[in-house]
Amino acid sequence: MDDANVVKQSLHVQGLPIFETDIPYIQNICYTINQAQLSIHALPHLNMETPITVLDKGLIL
Amino acid sequence: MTDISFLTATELGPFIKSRQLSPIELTTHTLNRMDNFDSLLRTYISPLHDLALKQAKEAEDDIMRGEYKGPLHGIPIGIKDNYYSKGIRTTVGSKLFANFVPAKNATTVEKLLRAGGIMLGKQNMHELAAGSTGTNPFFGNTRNPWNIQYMPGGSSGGGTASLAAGLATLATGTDTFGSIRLPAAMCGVYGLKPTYGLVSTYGVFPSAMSLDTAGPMARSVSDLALMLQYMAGYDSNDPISLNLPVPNYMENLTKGIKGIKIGIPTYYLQGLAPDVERLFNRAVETLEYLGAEIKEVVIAELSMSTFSGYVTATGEASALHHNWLQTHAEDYSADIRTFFLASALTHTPQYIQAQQARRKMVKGFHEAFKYVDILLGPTIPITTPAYRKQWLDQNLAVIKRCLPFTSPVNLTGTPSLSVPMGLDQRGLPVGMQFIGNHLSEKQLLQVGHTWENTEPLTRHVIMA
Repeated sequence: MDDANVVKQSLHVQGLPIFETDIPYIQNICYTINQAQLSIHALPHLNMETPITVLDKGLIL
Repeated sequence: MTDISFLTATELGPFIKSRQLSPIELTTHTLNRMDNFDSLLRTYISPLHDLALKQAKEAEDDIMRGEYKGPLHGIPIGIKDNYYSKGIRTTVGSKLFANFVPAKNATTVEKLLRAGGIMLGKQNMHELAAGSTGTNPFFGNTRNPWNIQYMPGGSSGGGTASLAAGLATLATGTDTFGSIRLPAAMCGVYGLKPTYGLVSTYGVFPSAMSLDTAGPMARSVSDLALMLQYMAGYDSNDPISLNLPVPNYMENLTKGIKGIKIGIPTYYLQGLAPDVERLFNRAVETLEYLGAEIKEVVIAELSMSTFSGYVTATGEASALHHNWLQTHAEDYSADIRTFFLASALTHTPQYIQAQQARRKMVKGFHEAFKYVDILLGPTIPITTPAYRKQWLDQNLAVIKRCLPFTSPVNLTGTPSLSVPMGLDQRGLPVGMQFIGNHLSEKQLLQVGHTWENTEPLTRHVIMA
């Protein structure tokens, strides 16, 4: 996933620019995110939560 | 009268009202300080001398006619350059918008001006409000007035540095993952990140829409309360604006904290720099001495802050900038570009999980608030770093260290007040944050005001 070529490919297919000097930093941020994702395993039943609700605010308050 | 450079709006107001201090005199004094010091500090992108003096003249004429508008009348205010200002360029700290001139004011700008505030200028910021140090390759790095070798923090670092240096009396900020509180901590001033939706963000350039919050920054808690009084309130132009009555934020300021239950999440005690830990322990003892009941609490859900914060902030910002990144990528500085582009490698399930984690975190906070009134932790775990030549590495490293401390309230929409807690061994300010339940700003300000009376900072910045 974090291989430099995969990063470049992912950017390319989305029409996003590739700056060679950016790649290690992008990899670093992705590594941080992927490491941090492990935290969600400590909290079970994440799928009990509705991720996004589209509801008129007047009904909520 | 004493030197007016560091007086607060609450202190200046009575002098202006009683005509002992003219708005023109106050504005001219502040503009002169900007002329003397801002080429070094770079707290303003667009100083507005002529407009400020015109507004000051109007304020003076009003007051001389007996038409005093209230405690903001004649008070000099710095406006962060991501708040739209009608007919005045609004760069968002970015080359991309270097020549953008809005046709309207942000709702909050309109409110502050209607209350008689004087707009000194548009203030410097970390590019696109998406960084935490205060570097800006297009408009110059803002410097920390306590020591110009050091960063002021970001993204609202122009505002907080101007307050610390006496180059504004009040300032507006925005906070997406810490941009009011982090620079407030680094510059030794006060900053409030309100409940999501309490202050209109209409006419504020977005960063990550589900996290973005506008709020006040000042040299005192009373001034924050004063500003919030004017900034808060329903705005039909803003789809996230809360349609609720605005309480009187000033009325409980002096009630003290006896019997208030303060919880310290164990999450906020991990990985603290030695000076932060020392000052925080001392602050906790002081709060206990003042009558607060202190206890540690465990909010396990906070461990998801880093994941949820990164995925949400980069994902939403990247979506907003997708087309500009495709066509104008060279107009972004490398730290912001890499931050946004990283989200191109995250996946939809990760974004969904990040939103589910936010719901869990809200429940975690609500559970904690069954047992305590407010929560307390250091604003950030580090002391203020000096600027390094490798600024790209440094900018991303500061986000990585600080986002876990600042983002939980953005992710949950809860309010947080950053206050100075003392000076580190190098003489640089360190901050802590009081976190409240949704819409508990009044209580946060009450606790913050009590803390402020302990005079956590023993001196002002000395500008020579």
